[in-house]
Amino acid sequence: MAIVNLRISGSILHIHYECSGGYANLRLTLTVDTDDLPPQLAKELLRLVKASGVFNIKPSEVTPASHGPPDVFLYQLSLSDAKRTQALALNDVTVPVTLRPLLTLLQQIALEQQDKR
Amino acid sequence: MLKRRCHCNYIPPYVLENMVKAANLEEEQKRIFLNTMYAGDRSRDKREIKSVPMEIFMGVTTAPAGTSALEVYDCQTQWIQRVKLVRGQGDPVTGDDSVNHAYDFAGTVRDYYKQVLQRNSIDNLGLNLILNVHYGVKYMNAFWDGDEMTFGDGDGQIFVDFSKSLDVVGHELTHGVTQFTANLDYYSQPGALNESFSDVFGTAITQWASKETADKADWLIGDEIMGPSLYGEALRSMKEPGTAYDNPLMGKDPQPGHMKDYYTGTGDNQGVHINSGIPNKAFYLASMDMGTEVAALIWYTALQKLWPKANFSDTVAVIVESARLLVKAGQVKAGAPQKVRAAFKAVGL
Repeated sequence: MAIVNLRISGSILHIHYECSGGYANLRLTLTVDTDDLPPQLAKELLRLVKASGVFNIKPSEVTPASHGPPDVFLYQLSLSDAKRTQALALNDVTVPVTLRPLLTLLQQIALEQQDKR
Repeated sequence: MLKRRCHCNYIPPYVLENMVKAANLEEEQKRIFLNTMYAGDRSRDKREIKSVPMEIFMGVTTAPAGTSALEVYDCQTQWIQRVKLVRGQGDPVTGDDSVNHAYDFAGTVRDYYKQVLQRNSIDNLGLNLILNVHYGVKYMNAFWDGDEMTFGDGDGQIFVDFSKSLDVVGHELTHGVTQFTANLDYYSQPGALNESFSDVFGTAITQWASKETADKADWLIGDEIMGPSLYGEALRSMKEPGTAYDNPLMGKDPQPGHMKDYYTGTGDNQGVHINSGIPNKAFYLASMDMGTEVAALIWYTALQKLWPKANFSDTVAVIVESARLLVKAGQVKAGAPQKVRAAFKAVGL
């Protein structure tokens, strides 16, 4: 299950990310503010959020209809700013291709932070 | 999965499910009913319509057999399946290890089901095996989606190429076998059983391919795909659930090996990869007592009798009954039902 909460206020973005399931039954979580990230990384993250069109995705189009298929990753994304709120539940079969770069970067950051604990 | 135009009228799922449980239902009819009932759920996940023609549903005729052909596609690190066919059935070795591993291991799985269990590919009708390698960017996973297999390359540090492991290929293709037999729901106990059957046959196939006996096998799942950062770890242990890994990145292996430690949380679809440790250990114990090949035959016989919402208790009863029937048929030695009961008793079932 990947949960990403993005609250955009000015240039600050709050992110909460979780990813679960898969053959390895990975459990990744990430909670970070872009202020806490290196500037280049924060900039890239914001670029990918914009490029993904995540606020335009209709939740009903990406919510899995069943618990399967077996061994896919499960993701959830929740985003909010002063005016908008987005909450998505997805898996590897339903996730739009446009969202993949953002999910890949969030996974990478989550793995790096998890390994440092 | 049958892929043809639908001329069916809607039949309530509870009617179909009750019919599936009927003791005298032929295997082919059972498979047709299950696929009719669940084709819609799977099709919504894949965003295409798949259903069963009336004449097949009514048993007037059967679906035409395939040729069990292997087809390996290179996704070229795109998040799309079937980008480019790079190795078809009978084609020579390529310069890409991922392609060759997927091809060879899928062939081994197909051969195991055919030679050992007399099963003609995943659906017992010669379904062609579609394999996608190099899927996505640093994708740390492999899955069966109802139609085909998909492998990621891993990140090279934590996980390496998922097509590199016969365990993985056997596990994922067995999800397909389950789909066409018991079709266990991927949730809670049916889901844990779904996962367990995949680990069971992933392991049985690996031991068969390497001519390894139960007492010599390591009973580890996923050790071949661990990257340099986690070298020596594994994802699951059928021999000792809960001991496969313990590191800062993955945490500690949460699998129980006994019902007293059953996971009751909501994560992982109510623990499908977690509580699978319990039936996994039962299979390990049964294999150590009878040999993996005998245990696998009993488990496979049971898989064909189970149903989508079967739980642990249901499955124990069916596996014991399957052992009894195989003794009666002279296919396994007397004492097998008792050994199966003992294996499940040892894990609290």
